[in-house]
Amino acid sequence: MADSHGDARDDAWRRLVPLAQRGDRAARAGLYEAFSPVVHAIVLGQVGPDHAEDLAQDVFCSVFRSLDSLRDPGAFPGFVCSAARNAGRDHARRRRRAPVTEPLPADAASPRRGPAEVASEREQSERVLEGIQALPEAYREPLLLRLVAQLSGAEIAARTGLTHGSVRVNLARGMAMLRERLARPTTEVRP
Amino acid sequence: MNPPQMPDHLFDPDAAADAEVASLERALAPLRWRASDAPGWVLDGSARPGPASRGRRHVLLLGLVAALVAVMLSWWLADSGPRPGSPAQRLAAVDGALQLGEQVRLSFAPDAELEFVRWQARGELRLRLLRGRAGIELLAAGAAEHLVATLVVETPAGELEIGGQVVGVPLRPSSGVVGSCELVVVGEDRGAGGPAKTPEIGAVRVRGTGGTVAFSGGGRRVVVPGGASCETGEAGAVTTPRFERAEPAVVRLLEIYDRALVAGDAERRAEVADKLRFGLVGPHTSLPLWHMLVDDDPAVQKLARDGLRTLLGPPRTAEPGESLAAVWLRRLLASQWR
Repeated sequence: MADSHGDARDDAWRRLVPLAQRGDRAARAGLYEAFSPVVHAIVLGQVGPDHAEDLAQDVFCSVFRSLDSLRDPGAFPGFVCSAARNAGRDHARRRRRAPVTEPLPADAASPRRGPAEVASEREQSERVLEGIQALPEAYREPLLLRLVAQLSGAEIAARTGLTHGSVRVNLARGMAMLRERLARPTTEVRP
Repeated sequence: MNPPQMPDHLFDPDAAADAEVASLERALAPLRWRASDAPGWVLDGSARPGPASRGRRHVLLLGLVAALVAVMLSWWLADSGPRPGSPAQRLAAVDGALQLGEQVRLSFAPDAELEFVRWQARGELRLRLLRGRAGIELLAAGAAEHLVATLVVETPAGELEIGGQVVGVPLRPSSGVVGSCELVVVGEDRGAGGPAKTPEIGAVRVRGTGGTVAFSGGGRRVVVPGGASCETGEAGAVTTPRFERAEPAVVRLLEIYDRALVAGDAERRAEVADKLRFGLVGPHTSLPLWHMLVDDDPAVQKLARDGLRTLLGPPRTAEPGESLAAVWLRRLLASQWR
């Protein structure tokens, strides 16, 4: 079922790419809607939540600017994912030169919850995200696309150009590594 | 090596729920992409690259246009040093002010040059003061989603006043992005001013209310006199300025011209120039033709020159070695299009 759902959405973006190349606004909006969660998840794994949304927007600017260079509409997922990875790497490189603290967005948690609960949620989010960020890229991306962008395995395959089998394996291995990482007690070295 | 066993729910969200996967989903839920965060400028053609961005060929073309304009303007600026009785003396005494949306008011001392680096979502405004003095006033009014939360001004070679005090702002590295615009104030001593509206984040609209404002972006520089306006269009390039009283037919032709400019379609631009010079443009509305003088296509330049010659007579005598296009451009900057 998930596969057929993913295929249907797959067909939709395929039709949009040539239209978007001709400047059709609705087509670009459709591509943006279909792939923004993917781009966001990829850059989230590299730069963290505070910069992910802005960086995702930059990625789309770059993608739409160079969309004409894409000859095969079917290559769009790889094209956009590659742009997101490159943007994330560049951003991370710049940040390493000028490190900054990155709290979660202030509005990320529900305002109806109490401060303690919000803090706890935030801590949990950060811990899980850090665990995923520490994984190799091959495992990090599928996990973020599944757990943050909430795509099915079939949709992840369609968006990234991987086979279903590869996605299944990478999800399983990534999950095992994440489980192991999260099971470790958080230790801080104190002077 | 066999992959570890995994719950079906990890591959297929519609399968029976797995407690561990569900727990991770819940933990990461605050980090999900929120569609409402998508800014309009990402989808709107007026503020991001349009259909005619044709890869390297297009970048090269824009580069050539930018180089041509830069060469002509630098020549003109170099030539406009203070000489008794020359227009250059008046041009040196320019003040300008622009208001961005309802929240930011910028003022410029003579010859100040300020560059919009970025106005991004989450209210971060980045500017670069390249030279001269500028003042920035943050106003309380404005829609909440457009409020500036972070103001970063780089001052490689300028002085910035905030709240009436000159403050030193450290130089910070940055990069240009779509929507970046450069703003230069030039013109006569009547002063330049007028609101620059930001209909969407990343898009900038400039409307002149007096004097002359030179506005550039995406490799194109235009001159916006009082009563005219322009905005950032496709590929971040600014559109050809037009007077608010311009006839709808002129506006439609200019839209075609701007699209053709981005697309590198010289033939289409020549068609527009040809139509504009016959019947649709009078001496007081000749502003678009002035901008076509610096079109990178010689045929368009010639049509514009012929049209202006018919409407306004020949340009003033050129200096030795001065190109005819440079003479016309000087007339444009000296407010002689009215």
